[in-house]
Amino acid sequence: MQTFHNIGTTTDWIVMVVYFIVIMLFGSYFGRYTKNTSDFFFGGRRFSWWLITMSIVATGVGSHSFVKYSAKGFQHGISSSMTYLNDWFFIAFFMFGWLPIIVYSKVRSIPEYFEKRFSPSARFLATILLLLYMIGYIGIGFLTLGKAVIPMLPQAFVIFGTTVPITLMGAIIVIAIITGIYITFGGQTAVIFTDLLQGFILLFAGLLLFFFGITYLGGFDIFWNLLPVEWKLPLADFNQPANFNFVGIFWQDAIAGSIGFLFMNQGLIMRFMACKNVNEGRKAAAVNILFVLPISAIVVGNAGWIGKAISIVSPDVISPNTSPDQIFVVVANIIASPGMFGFIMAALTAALMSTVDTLINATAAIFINDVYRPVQKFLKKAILTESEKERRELGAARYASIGVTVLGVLAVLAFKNFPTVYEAHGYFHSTLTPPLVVGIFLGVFWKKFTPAGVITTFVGGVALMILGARYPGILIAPFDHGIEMNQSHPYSYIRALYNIVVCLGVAILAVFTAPWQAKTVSVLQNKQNGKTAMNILTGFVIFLIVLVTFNIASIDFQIFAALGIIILVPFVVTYFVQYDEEKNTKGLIAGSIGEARRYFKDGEPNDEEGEKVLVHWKQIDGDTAVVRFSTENMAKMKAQPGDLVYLSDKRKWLGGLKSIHSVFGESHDEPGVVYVTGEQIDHGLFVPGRILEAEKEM
Amino acid sequence: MDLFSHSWLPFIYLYGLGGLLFVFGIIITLKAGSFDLSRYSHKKWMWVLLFGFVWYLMIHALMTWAALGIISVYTVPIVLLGMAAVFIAVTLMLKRAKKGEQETQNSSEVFYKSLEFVSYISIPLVLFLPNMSTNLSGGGLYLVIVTINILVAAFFNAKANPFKK
Repeated sequence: MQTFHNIGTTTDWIVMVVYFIVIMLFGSYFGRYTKNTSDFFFGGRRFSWWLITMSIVATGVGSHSFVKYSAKGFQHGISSSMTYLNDWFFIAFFMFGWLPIIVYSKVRSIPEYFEKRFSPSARFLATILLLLYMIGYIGIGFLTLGKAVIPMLPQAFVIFGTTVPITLMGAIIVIAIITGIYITFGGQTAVIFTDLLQGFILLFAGLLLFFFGITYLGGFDIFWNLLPVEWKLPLADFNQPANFNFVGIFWQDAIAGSIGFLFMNQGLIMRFMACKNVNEGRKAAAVNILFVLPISAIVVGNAGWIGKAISIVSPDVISPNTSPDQIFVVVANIIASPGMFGFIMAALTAALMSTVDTLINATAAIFINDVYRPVQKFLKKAILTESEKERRELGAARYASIGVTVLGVLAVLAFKNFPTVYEAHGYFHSTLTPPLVVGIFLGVFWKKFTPAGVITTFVGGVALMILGARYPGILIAPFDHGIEMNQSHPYSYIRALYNIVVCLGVAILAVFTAPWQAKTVSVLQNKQNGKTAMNILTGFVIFLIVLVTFNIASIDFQIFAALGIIILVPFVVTYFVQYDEEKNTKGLIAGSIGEARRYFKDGEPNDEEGEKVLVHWKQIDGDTAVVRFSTENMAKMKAQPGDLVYLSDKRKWLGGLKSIHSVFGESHDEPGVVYVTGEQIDHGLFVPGRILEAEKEM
Repeated sequence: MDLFSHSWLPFIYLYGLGGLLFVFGIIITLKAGSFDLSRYSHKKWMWVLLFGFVWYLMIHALMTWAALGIISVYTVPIVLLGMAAVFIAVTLMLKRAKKGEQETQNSSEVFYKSLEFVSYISIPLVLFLPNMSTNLSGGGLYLVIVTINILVAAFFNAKANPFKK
């Protein structure tokens, strides 16, 4: 396979350095809006849908990168776009299930949801799985970044007479340091605004590249007619080849990937939570999936398609044997002029960095919420003032960002031996998402889903997944839809189907056998030595887990051990975990959104349709928990004291940057004026003389 | 060369199984009450959800037809832009209807249904009619899609037409 080094000119490097400096300055500017952990992680829940949509572009395009889709575009044609065009199927579940629940229940992380919905032990397991998922995702991001910059670097450089080779891992470590510095001092607001800028630049750069490519080839008709029919089809062949087939990618991406991306990608969820309300989050999701993703599919894959066309017409310019992961850089270098190539590369690498930034920020959020705070609570540290606590948590969040960056670099080692980034990512998604996907999905939509169900899914489901990974020819083969098993990377994609089926099966089994568990447990609870019996049983379950995890014993015995785990774990959980179905599902399942809204408001929601009003603001001393409007304005908004209000600078293009959420106080008699306190002005960044727009939330 | 396993088989699998999941999602959220068609804003979302499904189905169908040479590749952006225009027009109209708090307007209802008719049936029908006799598989599938769309539109018009009381 042909690989490249030293691509690009000095001009390109200058353009890239300037681009990075501008982007970092831009991000640092908005970093000043970070005042507490809420701002650091969620941007203060204040932004408009369009701003979030564009900022998601950089995250989405970055993660589903130029590198991997160009690689597949070069190998298989336009069907490389299919993973961008299959996210709509779960949108109703997301818009009207998961999104309102996470916003209204005020959870700050996915594991926190597991604690509220199930139990602390479920949260503990969810934290482990989610951290593995997020760190793995960061690792994939770093790997892609490394593969993107390697073709531009020399094979080695000489320093003080010593030749130092440039390796993939070396490049990744340098990139990680730059990324870590930026995110550590920026926070979510900085990331959102940097991504907003980069979202536009990315789409522009990608479409520009397509235009250059078509021009290089002599027009669209020539390009289209050069491609064989198979390369023009939008979906891959049903079940072949093993490294790129429709049915495997359907289960890995359209099912596990889409649910994983929408439901458990903390980075993306934090973006939606940064929206000013649930409806804005829905709009951001809808516009992004409906219109931005199809454009992004062209933006990220076209270098591969153009590369394929050039390789047909001029194999001496681009060899058909070019390394697929390098094709983006190779094509960009051929069809773009010096300087422009630097700009495209800067946009690409900056987008990838942006994805990694978001994920690092999100993983740090999980660390603070699900490790740092519970540990602090457990250690019963001295009671601190709110501001002191905030200061410490912000510090811990920044250290967590650094730690996560280091772990992300280490995670690259697990993926770097896959032939392409695409396959590494596919394998990663198929393997890590199913247990959490099943846990979240059944948790949100099935009231009867219990802690025993979710913990058995996490333990028993994972045990069967481990066996599937170890014996794919026996366990995954029945699900393969005729896909040939690749011995070095067996069933990279279709394993998602097996993993979903076993996790779902285990979950359903645990729930449907709940009456037996309850009966047995109640008998044991009434026995004098019941606790001793359960402790012995727990020890036995741990022994079985060790047996499966460390591959001790024959396959038959391991399958038997996994079945033992699936049968016994529900009894252990039912015995030790306190669970009240009514209490634990209130406001936390799709069937109780009304309760969730009441919890969010701390009162009965007011859904009467009112109008938005424009007001001047006046500073007063008083209760910082409320804002006060005139009776006339309150009537126009159909608002009552105690209702929730969103107050923002009237200028729409700010996207909600200067805004606050508050509560309606008692009305006054000064029409067109809102009374706000100094603290509210400071938090909302309101400018003297600027008109504000007020709208009742609920 | 038989390209069925590379074209229509994955298409049927994607929109058959994906379609089931999509409908299942709508039914589950409706049953749970979190998606509540008695609320005006949710009725608008129903329009967006259904449009989204047809939108993606058309993207893949058009691209497949273009790849197989049944239609010109230039037809793809024309039809998609037409659909996007219809979507934006209807969505804005629904927004305006909310502002005016007039959910029942005969003229708007007629316009809404006309646009829906145009988006689901007319544009692709006109564009593909000449090819249907020469390519039965593409034409047959197209007819199935159109029929499903008519049924879906008819069902949700009765249930969720935002202009209906």
